[in-house]
Amino acid sequence: MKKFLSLLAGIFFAGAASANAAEYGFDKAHSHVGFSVTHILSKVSGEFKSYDGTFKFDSKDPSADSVAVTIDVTSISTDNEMRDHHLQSPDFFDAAKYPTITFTSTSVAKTGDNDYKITGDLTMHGVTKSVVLDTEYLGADSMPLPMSKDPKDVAQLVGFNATTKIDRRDFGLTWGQDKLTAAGNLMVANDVTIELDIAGEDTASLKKMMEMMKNKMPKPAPAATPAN
Amino acid sequence: MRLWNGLLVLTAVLAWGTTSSGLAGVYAIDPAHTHVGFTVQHIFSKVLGQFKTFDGVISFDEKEPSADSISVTIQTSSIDTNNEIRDKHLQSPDFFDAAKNPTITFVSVKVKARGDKKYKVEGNLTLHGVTKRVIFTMEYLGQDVDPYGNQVAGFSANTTIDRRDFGLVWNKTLASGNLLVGNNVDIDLEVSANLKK
Repeated sequence: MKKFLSLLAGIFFAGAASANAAEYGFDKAHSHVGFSVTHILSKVSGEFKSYDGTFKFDSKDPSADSVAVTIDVTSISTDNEMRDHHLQSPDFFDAAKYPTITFTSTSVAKTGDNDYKITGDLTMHGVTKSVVLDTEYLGADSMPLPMSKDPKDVAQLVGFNATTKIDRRDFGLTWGQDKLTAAGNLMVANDVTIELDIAGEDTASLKKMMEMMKNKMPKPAPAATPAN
Repeated sequence: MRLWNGLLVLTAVLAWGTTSSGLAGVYAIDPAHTHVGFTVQHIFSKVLGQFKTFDGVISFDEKEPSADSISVTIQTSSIDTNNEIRDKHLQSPDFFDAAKNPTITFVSVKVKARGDKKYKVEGNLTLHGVTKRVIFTMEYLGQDVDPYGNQVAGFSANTTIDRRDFGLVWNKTLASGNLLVGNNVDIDLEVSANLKK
């Protein structure tokens, strides 16, 4: 009896520690991976339009939280084709050599009711440095999956806002140190503010959405009837 | 010799004085370094967007804010929220109705200084066929000369509007009561403008 009870307790306890650390993916239609850099006096903004990743979040246990993201460098967009090409060239990101930017968290600390500090390794342009994202948890909600008739298909949603500031020179992005104005301002500043607006959706729902969208797409040729 | 030195010093002081207090003039907004952006709440997180095609003129005299003016015209169809389906929806009659309202304009009526390099810019915003008075909080970021000889001035301005005031009322409510699309829209402008030659 004692053995059975302790076994039960063991299973229950082990389960409970990570039971609430749900896994989420990015609702890309409602997320934004952005950055801004000062050009002489005013800010120029840009974003990365293509990225992927998942994160684990448990509002009660930050030690269970983690995030891993991979960003496609060629998806950079600053609304200027010439500039976007220049940014992907060896003068800047050298996308041909370093096609991705990655961020992998190493620790998450809760610093307030809804505030967190996410420490992680940012790898960009072949250089890895530890950065800290000042993060705010914006809340959670649920929404029935569009395109599904099953009332059990409900997506769990969470929202975050995270920012950090980096010096691009730390990642070997040094172009333009000689491009100065009369007053000594850089054409492209060294400080880069990274701003992330994140809408997360549980990975199970995201998978279901993708399957439903795939099934809705027209099939190229009549498939053989499966022997059911 | 002393008189000549004196004249040189006087010229330098005058020149420096003009530069530090801003050259009065008419500036053309530089679209390559200007951002016309907005943020709206989606349930509880923020969705960002921008208008990519616009032009405008700023008449700016740091010493005489009452003489300042700004006029901007934005192409509604240049809206970009990084989602083709949503951008099409935003241009439809559900939202901006770009076919009927191809432009969004802002024309200032009054500019008041509100402290060191801070201003309140009041004007008429015409959006979705409705004109309403709005006030932007603006910061003058200074002026400089770039390596190509352009006299550049920088400005940062923002305001918040209730889209319903402009007839933009489309929405859906979740079971929780959260709105799919917030009613408040934060408008933020980061402007780089070149002195017209």
